[in-house]
Amino acid sequence: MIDTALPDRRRNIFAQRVEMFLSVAGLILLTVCMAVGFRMHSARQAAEKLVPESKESGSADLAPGQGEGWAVIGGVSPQVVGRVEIPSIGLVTPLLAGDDSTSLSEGAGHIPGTAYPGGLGTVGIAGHRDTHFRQLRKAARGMDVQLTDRIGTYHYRVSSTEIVTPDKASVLDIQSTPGLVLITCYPFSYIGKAPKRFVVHAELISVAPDDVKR
Amino acid sequence: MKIFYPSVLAACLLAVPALCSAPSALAQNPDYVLVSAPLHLDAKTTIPGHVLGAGTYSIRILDHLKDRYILRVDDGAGRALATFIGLHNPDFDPFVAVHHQGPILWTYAPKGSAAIRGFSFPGGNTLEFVYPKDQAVALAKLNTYSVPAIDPESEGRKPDPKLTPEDREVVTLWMLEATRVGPKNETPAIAAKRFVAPAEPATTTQVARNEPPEELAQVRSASQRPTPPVAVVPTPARVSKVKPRPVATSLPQTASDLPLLAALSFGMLVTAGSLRLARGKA
Repeated sequence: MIDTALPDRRRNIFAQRVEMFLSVAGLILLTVCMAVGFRMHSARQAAEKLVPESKESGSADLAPGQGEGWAVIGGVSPQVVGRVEIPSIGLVTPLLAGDDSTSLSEGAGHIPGTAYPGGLGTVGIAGHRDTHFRQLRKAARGMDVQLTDRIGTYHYRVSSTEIVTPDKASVLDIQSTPGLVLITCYPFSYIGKAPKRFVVHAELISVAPDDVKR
Repeated sequence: MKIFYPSVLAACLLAVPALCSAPSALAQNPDYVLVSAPLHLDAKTTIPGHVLGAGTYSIRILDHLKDRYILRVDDGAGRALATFIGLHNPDFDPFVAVHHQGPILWTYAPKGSAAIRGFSFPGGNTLEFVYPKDQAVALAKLNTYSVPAIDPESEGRKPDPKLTPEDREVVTLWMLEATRVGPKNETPAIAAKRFVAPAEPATTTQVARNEPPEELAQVRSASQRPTPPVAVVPTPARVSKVKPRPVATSLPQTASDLPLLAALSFGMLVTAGSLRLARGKA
């Protein structure tokens, strides 16, 4: 007599093991996603709480500037240094020092070596197209871009958009007027590492920040 | 006599425009630049990156590059106090540039203090001082003229007091000017534009490359009026050999793994649930 229950039992054990593996792996991935989401939320909250230092506009002292940069210390979680906003398309995201993967997972990242908000040069900011810079596809000429840091809020006006290859780093070059470059991946619907970059160019309206209100 | 008066009149008519245009021509084409000149200050005065107390100092041109001059202020004992950038601004009032020797102050400076706008060397070479951004913004808010500025940090360089000589040669020069923006021009703002050096006139420049000590001694004992140059070593504008560093070689990778991870996690959990249901039914 042939025991037909044996293959069924084996199949059942195999299915049980696969189920177990998928459940554990799925839960681990879910935990990772939740942890990243929590960090994103914390960064967003830190950026929303960011209030420029009280400094009376117009009475700026002639004492030499402090010249403090954004120190990024290795091993320490990325530092929230500001906030990027394009009110007309509802884009609000924290600005972090550095464009490494950890920084970009929590917000938009300031490209090291480029100008700081309101600086005389070109500010370079990169962000993920599927999270923080998802709304960037709607950016259009004339829109107001606000960069807020501990000094104040600087206004930029979108002048153009373009699609470039990743090797076109010249978009970060200093132009005849101070500007801002927002970078994200393109095409927006691409799955995985997209082959191109969507670049938004904006011009600085005023080197002096908005009056600080507390 | 009949011929004399019309001749005098004609000579005067010809001389007036010539006299009026002379300062402008001199200012635009300076023949030479003084190596150093005394700088007398009656009160606390701001220069780029520093505040000087009342006293006697000397200011010297250390180097002349295509679009900028490197200036240094020494104290009475000859110790270097500040090194900064100066530029030949074609918009600088040519009359002031020629007829005024010594420091030229900004009309207004924050908190009622004094700030030096530039220095007019004998010979018509007037150099405007380039201020760090924060100081330049404060001056631009109060004055109607454009203020030369630098912002080394925005180019990944050290801030002004720690600026290296190499960085000083290549840091981008800007002009800041008060303006108004908004639909009705109701909001005061500070506009910035990159400084473009005017075409270099066929001129030579004296610079203090070896800083001869005997010359310094003469400067220190100088009277209120600046003295003419001591050693004449004509030197054309130098071309900087410092290559500007590129900010990046490629644009950052901006694809997030988060949506993929979330989809993968969802797929795994749904498959696991389906398997469980199938096993339960069997």
